[in-house]
Amino acid sequence: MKNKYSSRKTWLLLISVLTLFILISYFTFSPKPQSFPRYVTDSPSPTGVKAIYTYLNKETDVAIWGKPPEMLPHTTKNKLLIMIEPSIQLTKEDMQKYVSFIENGNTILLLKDDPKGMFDVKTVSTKDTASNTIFDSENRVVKSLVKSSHRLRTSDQDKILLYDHLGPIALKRTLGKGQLIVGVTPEWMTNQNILKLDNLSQILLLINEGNSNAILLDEYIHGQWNDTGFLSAFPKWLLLIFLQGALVIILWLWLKGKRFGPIFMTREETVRFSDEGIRALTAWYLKGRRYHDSIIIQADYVKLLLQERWGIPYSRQWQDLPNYLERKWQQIPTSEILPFINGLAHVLEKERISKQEYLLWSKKLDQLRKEVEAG
Amino acid sequence: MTKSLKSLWARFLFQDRGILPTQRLLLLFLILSLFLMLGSVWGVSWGYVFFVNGFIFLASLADLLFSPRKNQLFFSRFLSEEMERGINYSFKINVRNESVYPFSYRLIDGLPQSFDQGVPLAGSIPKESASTISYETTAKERGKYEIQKLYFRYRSLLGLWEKQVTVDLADTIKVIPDLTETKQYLENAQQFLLHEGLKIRRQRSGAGDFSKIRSYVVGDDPRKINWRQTAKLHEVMTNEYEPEHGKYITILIDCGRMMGAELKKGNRLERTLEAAITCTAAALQKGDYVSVLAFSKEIKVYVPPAKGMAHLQTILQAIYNLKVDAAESNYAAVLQYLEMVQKKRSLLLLFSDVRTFLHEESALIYLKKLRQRHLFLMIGIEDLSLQRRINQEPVDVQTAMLKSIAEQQNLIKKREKNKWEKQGLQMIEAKEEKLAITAVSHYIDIMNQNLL
Repeated sequence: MKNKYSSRKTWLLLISVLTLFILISYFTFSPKPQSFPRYVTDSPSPTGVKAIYTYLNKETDVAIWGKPPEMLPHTTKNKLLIMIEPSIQLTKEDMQKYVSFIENGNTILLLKDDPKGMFDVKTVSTKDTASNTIFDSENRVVKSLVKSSHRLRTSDQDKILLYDHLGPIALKRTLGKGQLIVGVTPEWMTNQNILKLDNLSQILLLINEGNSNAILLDEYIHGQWNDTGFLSAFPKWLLLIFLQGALVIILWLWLKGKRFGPIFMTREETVRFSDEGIRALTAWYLKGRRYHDSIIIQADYVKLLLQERWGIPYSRQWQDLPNYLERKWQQIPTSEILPFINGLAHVLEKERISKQEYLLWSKKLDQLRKEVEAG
Repeated sequence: MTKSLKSLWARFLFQDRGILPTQRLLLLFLILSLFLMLGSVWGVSWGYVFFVNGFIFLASLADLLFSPRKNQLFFSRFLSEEMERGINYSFKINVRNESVYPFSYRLIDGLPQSFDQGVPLAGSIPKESASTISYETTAKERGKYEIQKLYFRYRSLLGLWEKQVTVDLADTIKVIPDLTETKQYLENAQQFLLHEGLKIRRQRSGAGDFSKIRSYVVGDDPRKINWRQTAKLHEVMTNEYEPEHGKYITILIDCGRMMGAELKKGNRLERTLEAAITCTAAALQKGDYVSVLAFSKEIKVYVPPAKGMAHLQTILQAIYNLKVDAAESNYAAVLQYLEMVQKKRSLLLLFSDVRTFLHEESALIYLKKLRQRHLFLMIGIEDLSLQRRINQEPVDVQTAMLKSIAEQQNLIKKREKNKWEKQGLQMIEAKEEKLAITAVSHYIDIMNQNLL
């Protein structure tokens, strides 16, 4: 009774201490503010682009693209992929994939402070960073500010969308069946700047320039992978097979895993055999390569058998036996008996014998043994 | 470990009570999956898939309400407390269902490993009734066993979920040696010894105790004619004598390491015990005193000499639970002990392994001394594996070596045996199935020759 009471007390004490610990840890460790990288779609911080994403999500069909460029759809057309300030180094192969995405009839909107090197875009850098007036393609004044100290270099086919007196700010270029739109003003997209001046209307202008029916926001270029995107790579029926299969397997494991009946030790663990001593000795002889000793034993055994069955005296040496054996040993021709005896005597006198010799003489002795035991 | 912790541990190993899905539920889910797969062609939503799965899972759990609760089932077991090894016995389990739901069940009795039980028993029990389940089992090893538990699974008639209970139902079973040979001997000794060609009758005329007077038949010794009775009955009567009885027999049973070796049926100790019991029965029937001593590295059991058939039970109860020890037998200690307790001249019948025994030089020297007072006979079981190894074809180095070592052991045994038999210590090796017969016929032989 006392024991029961004290154990309950211990439990209570343990639980209260645990609770206290949990409470203290909860209040003392307040979570740190989450930090986001710049230009990330789900970042609500001033440098993020969640605002424009949320807006587009409401207005049109927009999705986040977290997969590498080789998984970009080849068959679809009229998609707009928005790349805002890529932060990872894209390889040549990656760029090739993006280009072929455009050539299939899609559009990429690239916003980068210095887009030099991407999609063969060339830039010039300027020293003059003072604010100045920006014009659009129809020479109307746009109220915005450009931070970038780079301006685009255009060729004849390019259409200039925005420019100031230092040079083009945004341009459109046709590649294959699609288009590439480049701008040097990624900062217009950020949460802190989007509602300032004419930024939003200019962004929408650039987006509408793509003339697309679906928008993808590229998050792969920020080095972030999106897991929900991974699942979308599979068809629905396959996912359904996975889900239902998992369910059935869990139930099956439950059915099979529940033990029914007592636990037994396998009988093999407890059984012993009478030849374990012989086996141990054999291993010892083999390790020591005591083939000669083994042959001596075999010859001795046969000799004893000769005495028991054929009445040949055990005390005789092997060399004295040919006369006896010739009379009794029927299986082999008489001419082979003398070589056998001589060979055996020779082997028995040797210091060491090889494995092959050992096996050969074991077989020969076994032949004689069988003969003796039979008759 | 406390009791609650222990049961928690058992639960963790999925042993104890609990619920589990049935194959029927699995089938249900497979069919459902098929329908959902078809539905995916028309584009069912993920929400619908999760809802349907969840709903069917939860609804199936309601099936648990339609089978009895575990405190509405009552179990009892009826069994024979003493079983003979290798003989079929019938056990009964009574299940009472006090709930209003019928159910079907599967059952495994918590028998020890050495019992044959076979597949789980299955059946069904109607509501508010009792039912008796009986099954047959055979024990393959002697010993005293505790049965602790009964494992029981049952499901409602719908059968989507199954409940498992582990019932604490403790019983004790004694598995005694197979007494078939003993019974055969007691029924008809001559039939039992038929193939040994031994006659259970006096061999030397004139020797032994007076047994009875019977009619004279041609061939009887005329010197044994009882003239007094002949005159009385007007018929020639003759005296009959039989070997003396009231001699002492000591049966020594080795339980050492080598006795654990596996034979075709059971191990050496099993065979030995059966032979020892048969020998005891034969001696007790003749009116001799029998004592039994079991040993390994020390004395395990000693039953002092007594006579009468009732003594057989005493011996049986004393030795039925003998186990093989993992130790080498200490023959010297046993013989020393024997010298102390067995003062009268007796026949020492040692059941052991001849090869091991011959390796014990000290025991043999001790025996030489003991032989002056007692008559010694050792009986072992022929080691067939040794002979098989010798007869093996030496196809590779491994088998050739194994063969030569077997031959070496055989040679050592032969020489040692020869040496000690010259000193008057008799050793025999019998085939495993002939062990009892050999032992009994040697005993009768010794008695007939009046060697004791």
